[in-house]
Amino acid sequence: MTWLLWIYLGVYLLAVWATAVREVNTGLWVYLLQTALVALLYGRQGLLTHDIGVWVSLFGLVSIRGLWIPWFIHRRLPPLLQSERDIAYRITPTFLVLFSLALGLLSIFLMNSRIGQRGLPYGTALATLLTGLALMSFAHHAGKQMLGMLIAENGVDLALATTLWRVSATADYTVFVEVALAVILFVVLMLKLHQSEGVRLDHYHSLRG
Amino acid sequence: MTSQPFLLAIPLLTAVLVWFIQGKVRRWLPVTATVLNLSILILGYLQGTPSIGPWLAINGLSAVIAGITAFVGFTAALYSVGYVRRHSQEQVDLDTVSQERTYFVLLLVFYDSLLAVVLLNNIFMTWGAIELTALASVLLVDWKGTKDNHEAAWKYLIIMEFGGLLALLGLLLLVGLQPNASVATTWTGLLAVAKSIPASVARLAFVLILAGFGTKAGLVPFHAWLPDAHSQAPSPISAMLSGIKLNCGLYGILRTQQVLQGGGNGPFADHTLATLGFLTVAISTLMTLYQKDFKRLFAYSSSENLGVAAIAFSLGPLGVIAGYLQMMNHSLIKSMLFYHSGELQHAWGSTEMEGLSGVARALPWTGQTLVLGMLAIAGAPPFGLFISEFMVIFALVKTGSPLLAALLLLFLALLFANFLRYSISMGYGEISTRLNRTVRPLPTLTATLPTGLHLVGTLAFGMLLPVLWSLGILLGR
Repeated sequence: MTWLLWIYLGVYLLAVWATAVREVNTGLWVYLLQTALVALLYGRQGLLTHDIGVWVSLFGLVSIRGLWIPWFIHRRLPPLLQSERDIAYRITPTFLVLFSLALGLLSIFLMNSRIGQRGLPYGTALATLLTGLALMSFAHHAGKQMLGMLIAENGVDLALATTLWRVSATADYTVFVEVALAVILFVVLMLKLHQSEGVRLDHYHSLRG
Repeated sequence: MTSQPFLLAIPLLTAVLVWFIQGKVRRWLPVTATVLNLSILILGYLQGTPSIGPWLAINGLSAVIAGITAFVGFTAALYSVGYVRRHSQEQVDLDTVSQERTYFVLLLVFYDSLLAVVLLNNIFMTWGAIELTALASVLLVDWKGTKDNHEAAWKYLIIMEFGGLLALLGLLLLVGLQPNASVATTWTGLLAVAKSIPASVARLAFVLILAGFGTKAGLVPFHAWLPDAHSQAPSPISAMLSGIKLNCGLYGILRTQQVLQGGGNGPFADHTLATLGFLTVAISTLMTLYQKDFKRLFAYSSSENLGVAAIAFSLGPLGVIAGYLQMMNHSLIKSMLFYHSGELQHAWGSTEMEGLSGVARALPWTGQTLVLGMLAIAGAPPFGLFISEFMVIFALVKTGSPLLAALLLLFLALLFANFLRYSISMGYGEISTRLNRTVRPLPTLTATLPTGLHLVGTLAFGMLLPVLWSLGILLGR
């Protein structure tokens, strides 16, 4: 399984780069690639454990995360929003990738030192989660923030995938449905922002947090 | 037969009815549902219905929060009747029928998810319910559809989602590394196997869960969404966000703290929680000094009160009682303040405090109860919050931390002085010209009854608790 996690790390860095420099559409493709790797992990667990619950969860992952979410975003967001790039990223994409790499290695080191060899998937999950936060924090474009959240969520699914045969499918479906609902809200709010002052969030600073 | 499934089914069925039924009756359906739920809950408490099941379970903590949720949910639904009616009358060019339907359906889903948080026994479903509380309230924060509403709702959604994912990873760490993880997917199951969780895993998981659910509870430094969402949401929703939702975030932390205590890692959980609690009290108190908007002021005060509750729950059995009281009193008073802020916002035309004075004379019911509420939330006697804050300080001294008690007292005194200053400047003095010019209709029953009930509740806590304490009933002696 370790080799798959290392491939995943590469894809995760690609996701960071694509989200930072490319348009929402490309970001969605990399998200799909990342989801496909998580699905591979699910499939591997299913073959190893012969647990029907894992296959039920894999079905949810593919149908909700892999098909429905990208389809919904693609269908509902105006083409203009999908092809926009975030030209006003607060830091350079190269720095963001290096930062994410450092964050990833630190997370894996932290989990390994605390949990041992079994901590690798959790370290990868934490790395993805923190990178998702970085993507959300540094982006100006609402669509990029949504992608950051989806990428972060893939990290948690990675941890779910490695513990699947022991945690019921209820956990998976709770997460899948929650993400689907969140995506609906993200898209609805993005459309509202689009009709107001646009999806560039640096145009909204009347509230001070 | 347990009544808990009915508590979750009634609001959902009512939400379906609200979607299809038109006319004035739609506004009263949520009131009916919440009254029914409150009655079922009270009957359940009186009869002592079964509390543990595979899917639904209730313990002391969830019973307290369920009680708060049912009560504040009822008063928020009641207050919403007049609030939404007035909003609809003021909108001439909008589709108010659809807006009202959206409001009441989301209100019921929000209320249902808040109840589900404390009633569900499956850890991941509790997590899902906590997430749903955020998702259901995002569109309520954005209900009026202004630019500021969009900004607050977006920020709220992003921060809530990220907090949720952190908490989920923490929960997965706790459950996923168990030899018998399928048993540990319920709170009761996880508590039973708590001793087998390695200390390093439990501590790491707790930190992640504290950050994740701390975001939902508005604890500093994860509180950035709180003043924005509270100030932009319609007043009854601000009341529910502050009075109930923050408690549900804290609930997730406290259930995990119980697991750590069961596994022998209690001191770590207590110290971490108390540190975050102190940080929250300090920063929120300082932030209240600079506020110019009364809804934002109340929002920071919510954060401060949850900080005090977090400290309380880290102080052993006496602290736990103080924490329960703190949550109950804060919910009662803060919801009342948000109801009044709705009335005041309507009369004053904004939520800015600059130039606002003479409210107690201009709007006698709203103004006078607002001043009382501000004193109550600042911790003045004879209101309930005075007792709970006193108990927290007493518990701190009793656990051998007199310096920390003095520090907490200092922040509480600062907050008290600050709220006293705001309440005097807003409540008394010359009536503001703009306030004087507005039409001031008599407050309706849907506005006075909720605030009256909340005021009586917190006064009862403040006056009865010392008697119960002196009789030894409160501490089970």
